Amino acid sequence: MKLYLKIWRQKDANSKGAMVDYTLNGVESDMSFLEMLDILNEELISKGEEPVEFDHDCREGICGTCSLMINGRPHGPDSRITVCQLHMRSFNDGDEIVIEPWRATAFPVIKDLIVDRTAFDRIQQAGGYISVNTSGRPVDANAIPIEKDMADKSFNAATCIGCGACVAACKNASAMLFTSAKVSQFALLPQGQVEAAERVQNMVRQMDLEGFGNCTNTGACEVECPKGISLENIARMNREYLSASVKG
Amino acid sequence: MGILDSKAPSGPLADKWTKHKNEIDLVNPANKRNIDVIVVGTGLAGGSAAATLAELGYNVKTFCYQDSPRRAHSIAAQGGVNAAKNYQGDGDSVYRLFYDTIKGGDYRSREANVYRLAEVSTNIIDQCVAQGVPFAREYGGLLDNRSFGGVLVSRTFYAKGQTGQQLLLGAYAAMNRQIQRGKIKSYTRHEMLDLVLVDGKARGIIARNLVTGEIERHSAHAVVLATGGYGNLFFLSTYCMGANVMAAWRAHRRGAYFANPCFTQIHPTCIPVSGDHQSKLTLMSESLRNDGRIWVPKRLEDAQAIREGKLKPTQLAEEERDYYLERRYPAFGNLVPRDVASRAAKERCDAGFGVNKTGEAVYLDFASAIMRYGKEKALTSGMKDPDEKTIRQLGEEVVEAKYGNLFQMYEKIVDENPYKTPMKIYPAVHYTMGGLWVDYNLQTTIPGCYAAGEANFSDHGANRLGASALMQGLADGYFVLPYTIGDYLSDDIRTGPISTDSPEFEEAEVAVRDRIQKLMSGRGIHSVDYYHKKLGKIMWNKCGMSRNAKELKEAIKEIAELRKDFWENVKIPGTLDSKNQELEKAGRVADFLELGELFAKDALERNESCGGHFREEYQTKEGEALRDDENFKFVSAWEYVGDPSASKLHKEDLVYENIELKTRSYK
Amino acid sequence: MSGLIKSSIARKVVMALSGLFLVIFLVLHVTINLASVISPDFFNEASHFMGYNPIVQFLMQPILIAGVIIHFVMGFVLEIQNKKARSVSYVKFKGSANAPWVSRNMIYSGLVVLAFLGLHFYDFWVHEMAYKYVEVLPEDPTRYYAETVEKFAPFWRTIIYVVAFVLLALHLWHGFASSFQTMGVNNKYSKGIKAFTKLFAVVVPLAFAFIAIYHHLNPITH
Repeated sequence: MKLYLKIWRQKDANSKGAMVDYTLNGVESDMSFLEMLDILNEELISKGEEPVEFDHDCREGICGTCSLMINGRPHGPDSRITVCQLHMRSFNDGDEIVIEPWRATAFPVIKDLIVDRTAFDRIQQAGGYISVNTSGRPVDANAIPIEKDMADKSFNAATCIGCGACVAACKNASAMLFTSAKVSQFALLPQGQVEAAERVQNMVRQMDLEGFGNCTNTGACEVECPKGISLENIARMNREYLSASVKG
Repeated sequence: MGILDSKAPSGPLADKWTKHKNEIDLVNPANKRNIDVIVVGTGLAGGSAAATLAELGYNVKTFCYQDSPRRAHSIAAQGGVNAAKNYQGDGDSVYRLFYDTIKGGDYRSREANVYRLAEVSTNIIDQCVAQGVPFAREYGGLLDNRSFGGVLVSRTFYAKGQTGQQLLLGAYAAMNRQIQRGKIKSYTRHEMLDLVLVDGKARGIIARNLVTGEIERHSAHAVVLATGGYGNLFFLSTYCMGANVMAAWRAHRRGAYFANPCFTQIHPTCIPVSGDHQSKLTLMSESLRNDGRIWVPKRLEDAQAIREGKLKPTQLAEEERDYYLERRYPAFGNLVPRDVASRAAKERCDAGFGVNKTGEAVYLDFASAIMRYGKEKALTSGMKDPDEKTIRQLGEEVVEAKYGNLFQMYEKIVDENPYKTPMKIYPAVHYTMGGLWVDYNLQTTIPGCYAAGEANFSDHGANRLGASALMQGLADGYFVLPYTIGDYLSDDIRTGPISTDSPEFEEAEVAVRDRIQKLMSGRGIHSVDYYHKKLGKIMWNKCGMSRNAKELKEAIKEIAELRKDFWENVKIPGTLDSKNQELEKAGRVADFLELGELFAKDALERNESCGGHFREEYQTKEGEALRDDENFKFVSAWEYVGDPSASKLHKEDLVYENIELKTRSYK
Repeated sequence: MSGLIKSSIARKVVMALSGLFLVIFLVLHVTINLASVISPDFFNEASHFMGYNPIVQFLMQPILIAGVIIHFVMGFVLEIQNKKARSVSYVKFKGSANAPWVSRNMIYSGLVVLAFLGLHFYDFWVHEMAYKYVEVLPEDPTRYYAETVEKFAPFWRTIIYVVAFVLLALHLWHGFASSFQTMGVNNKYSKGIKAFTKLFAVVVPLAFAFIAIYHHLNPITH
């Protein structure tokens, strides 16, 4: 099939970017979206032009590196997948495809379609852990039984891949879904209780410092999240935060 | 030819690790504050090592090429992590895990290391649960287990199909805690381009900031390489796109021996290649072999009809199908180790029984599991005489609960519903058992340079069992390296900070700059990927699932020629002082082009078949691998001398004091 | 506690609580208004009580005004922050693919309601203030019904009121249930809250609109 691509090109963080048009022939429907971009890049290189830089790594939907806004939607038109899992059979011959980087003040563009998501790392560093040192003799893993339902819920929150689609989809560029997923994972486990209050306060403080927007409960993040992280997590974080604040 | 000393402690097997820990030198906490350690790679091994070293008090600098440590490819491991907990009460023990691993590795690993791995495996589960890793649980609230290939017990802990992700996020969280404390300085989007030796000791690295293109010098008292495996040598693999051998290969060129490069794991259950545009292959977890049955048609004409689209697999009756693993290996059936399953698939496809357009696919069929689970579910929910449709539906629900995410992943890629029609699978490169040679302390042949996880050669011999990679990465990182490294660093308590202004750093930086300059000066027309794909084809066709002397010799020649062409002609647009993905790829492929040659040489010199290394000249009448313990019961550790094919062999003899060497049989 | 005021979640909670407070006020308001259709006498009595009871006048009315001000000022603050959080906007953004219009346009429905409140205050509150405190006219418990009906005589005012009630409906459609999510309520009752929200968001503004149209169509003949 033949495609008309509009792609954001930006030399580096300090340059101004712009949309550039490309026409691409010979795209097959069982190619992945990123393989389609590989072909475009091969063409650009053979013409002596600089290829389009985009973030990607595992290409199986788990590392969370790929991050493209495709026709106005994070990770493209399909649901519950990342860009690398999107296949060209979701498009038709002659389609125009607009490809942009995630847009958020907290995610500055590094080059072309690549953005800096270290804000997410800093939120995690602020408290996304249980303070336990490595030692050869902790408590036996089965010493604390955990209700299956709770363990499953905690797991579901923990499946967040940190791709940033929630921020990209949110009209306010809010990072509440990301932050609440980590807060929830630990809030649901007995191991996470000791530091629960401190954790939620520190992580929310860091989230605010990074310049993400406020949650207005539109639910766009949940719809676009490739792992289907639930809005329940945001409510849980609100609850945890309020009770932590009230307790002082 | 030299002989290598593993420095494995003496004494009874079960006491070696404890004895060693008691005897090695320690660094007191106050002195640890004056010692810097560089950790390159932040996957399971690197992440856990960095966190633990920082907890102990060392100043740690971590480096990863990804934008966050959390993205290392350990994250993609699906199935699980082994541990000899014996929670299921099915007779598991540290010894049995040790024995299974040695046997699974076809008797080409070091007894003392493997026993230590089995011994600390139980600590891993305790540690990870304490960190809040949400492993799967039973209704009683206790941890659940599943079984994996090559073993007869259930010892695999898992978190749905995302075990690697959960374990990596655990290690990443532990790292984050230390970053917050200021004990780890994390350098992301940085790539190590060389190892710096001062007075024969590893004292730092040269790294490139991938965003700005700046070349940076970083010094430390020791350098840990945890940079994963080199399967991307084959271009198509289940590795992530960025996985590379650069760090290990640079260390190799500086004096670290590279061990058993030809020991590569080809995983039997991957989604087959669909076309030339393919950039990577996707694994379907081995756990699927618990319930899926692997088959091809019995008759050649049926296979032909299926390839041409005239016949559907579901139209073939039971007796028209060849469940070849069950036929050949009745004891283990579909759960034979990976090397055996992969070779068997290749054998059937080579014989003309392949079932996709290219003839390189076999079926993984869940129909009988669906019906079996459906019946069980109908019975337990008190249904009397349910019809077939109901049973099928109930069964599909059970299968969905177990493997839903994998089935969905398959459907997204292939556009076929695996509940209704059998999955098509084919083997693909998945893991490399070879890597930097390390002694019992995980130190390479360069003092102060350590290797952990997949980057080292240890523990898995010639074939790795499922769910053992996560185990080894975390064992090395959490429980082994942070302690054994103290033995070396105890001599460095008075050294003080290492200067980066020394001539050695200067020399290394100049060499790195020259190399980049040279890469950028190619005047040809082909991109890096063009060369990488060519290399991959040579590797897959001539150094893949089965090898012979003639083709290996051809491969050595072809790779050398390709390398020459690459250095003269590779085309890299853009500049060297900015973000440049093509330049990054070029540096990696340049090293693969050297490693490929050593790989083929190693395979050529190992005149036996063992584990993932199958030489066509050395097989039994039934086509099983024929090992030669008399002549090849050793680790091949190669010393770099300037040209990969001229590398010098050093042997580490493998001594089996506790296990009797046997022909591996899964019949 | 100072950290609490600065945090995004706390601001959101302020938004939710003030919103819910205004929702409760709406219930009271619509109840009294409905009386104007059913029983002019009762409407007059109730209006007089509200207008002259010191607790209502000097405690509840300031609280209500504060609630309105807090709600819209905080709304503006959050909106400005949200705009700043995406300094470069998308060339193509398909918000409709993943979130309903009402949830994405609270600022606009809110602004219309706010503008309407200006008119509404001018129409009734300013008039009351002038009657009681500027002109200092005597208490007249029978005047309210006639004054109200007269307000809806012009067609334009009735239309503006009705349009504002439609926007109010849209605002409530998202806002009511959303405030529970903000306060951390997302459980088995959430479905019920959402269903009730939709009912409320339709019924209350519809009642207001009905009253306006009713009085427009049924002027007092002298």
